[in-house]
Amino acid sequence: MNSSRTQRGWISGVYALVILGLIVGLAACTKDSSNLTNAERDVVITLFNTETVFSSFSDYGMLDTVAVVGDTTAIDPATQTTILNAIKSNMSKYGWTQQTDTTITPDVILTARVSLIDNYGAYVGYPYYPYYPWYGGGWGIWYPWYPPTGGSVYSYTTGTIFIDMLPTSSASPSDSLLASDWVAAVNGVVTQTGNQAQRITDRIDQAYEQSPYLNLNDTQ
Amino acid sequence: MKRNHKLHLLVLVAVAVAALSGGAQAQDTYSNITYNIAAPPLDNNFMEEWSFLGFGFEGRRFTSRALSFGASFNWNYWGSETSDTQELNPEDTNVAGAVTGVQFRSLNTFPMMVTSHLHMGRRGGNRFYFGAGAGAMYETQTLELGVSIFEEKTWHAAVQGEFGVLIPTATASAVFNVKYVYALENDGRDLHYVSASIGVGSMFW
Repeated sequence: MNSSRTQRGWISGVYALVILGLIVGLAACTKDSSNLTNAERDVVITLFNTETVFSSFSDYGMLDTVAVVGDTTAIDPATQTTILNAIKSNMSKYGWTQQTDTTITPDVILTARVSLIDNYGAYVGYPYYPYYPWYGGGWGIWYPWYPPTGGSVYSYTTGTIFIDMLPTSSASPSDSLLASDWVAAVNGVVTQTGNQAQRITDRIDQAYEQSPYLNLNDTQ
Repeated sequence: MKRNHKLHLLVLVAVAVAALSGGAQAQDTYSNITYNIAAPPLDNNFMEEWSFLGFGFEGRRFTSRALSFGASFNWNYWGSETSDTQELNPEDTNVAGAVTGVQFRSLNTFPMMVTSHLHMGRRGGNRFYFGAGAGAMYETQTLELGVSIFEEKTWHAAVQGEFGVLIPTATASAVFNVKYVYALENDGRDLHYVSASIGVGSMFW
């Protein structure tokens, strides 16, 4: 009888363990993103063409405006300045020279654009959208450029900043195509609230930090 | 997992425990409910955490003192969070890169097996057993990255090996077991892992 009571006692303990385990597991072990702040939702993706020898480049050209995709609303000048200054600062830190003479063709052209539409299912770095005409300085740029072949599918949301590095040597005016050798996508930062300028700068800095192959100081 | 799902699961557990208690007379059949934990999946770079959330149901019918046939259903959940920079190296392309952001990863497995077990020991005593199962496993992998969610759902053919012990009392029994579950490749992905369970069951033959 005592043995039976003992066995019943610890069988009850097993019951309790099963239920307790499930309760504790449900409460503690599930992970979700429902309580993330906007800043914690930021994602920085960078992609590059592995066949490109970035160390063969030295200068870049860049427009003084940020293009907007999917909306006629212009990005406010302060935000544009923040984006462009962050790019210039990182390019300078990595040993690149900005080419301001529009009669000289630089090795690459940098473009910055902000998507104000959702592009779910877009291919890496290249949300597919109708081309937009753009001329910068004395350099002709032809859109749409074509993406690197293959790659995974990502989705980008409203407010994503895209930075493209377009090598002028591979431009094909006859085909109106230009391939990007490096692209950075900073997801969703432009239209959200919060310390936007600092977030934009931090995330663009992160894009360069995770792209060490762009650092000409290390390769020369 | 939302709160109402937790409530549904707890109700399910309570109903199952009540059903087990009520079925204690039929001793040529055996059923149990278990709490499961599992090690990180083997040869898998998606999930490197342990699972401490899972449960299982199982039924067996004894055809002799030692041999039983039955079926089992189990569930395990793995979850992880990381903000490390991840390298991107898609195969068969000239593109590589990196991604930085808070990632939530989750993995759910639902193995459903037809099983057979060979039990040792005398009637009424502790019954060590080993067994095998074959069937299917439904698997979901979810990656939350920023505001984007990538989800893959796959059915696999699956097999499992198992050993454990049934410990009887006057009114119920306890079960402890360890399983190795192998989900065969489908959609370019296979999955295998080891889980351990503790649970309560009906009386058995």
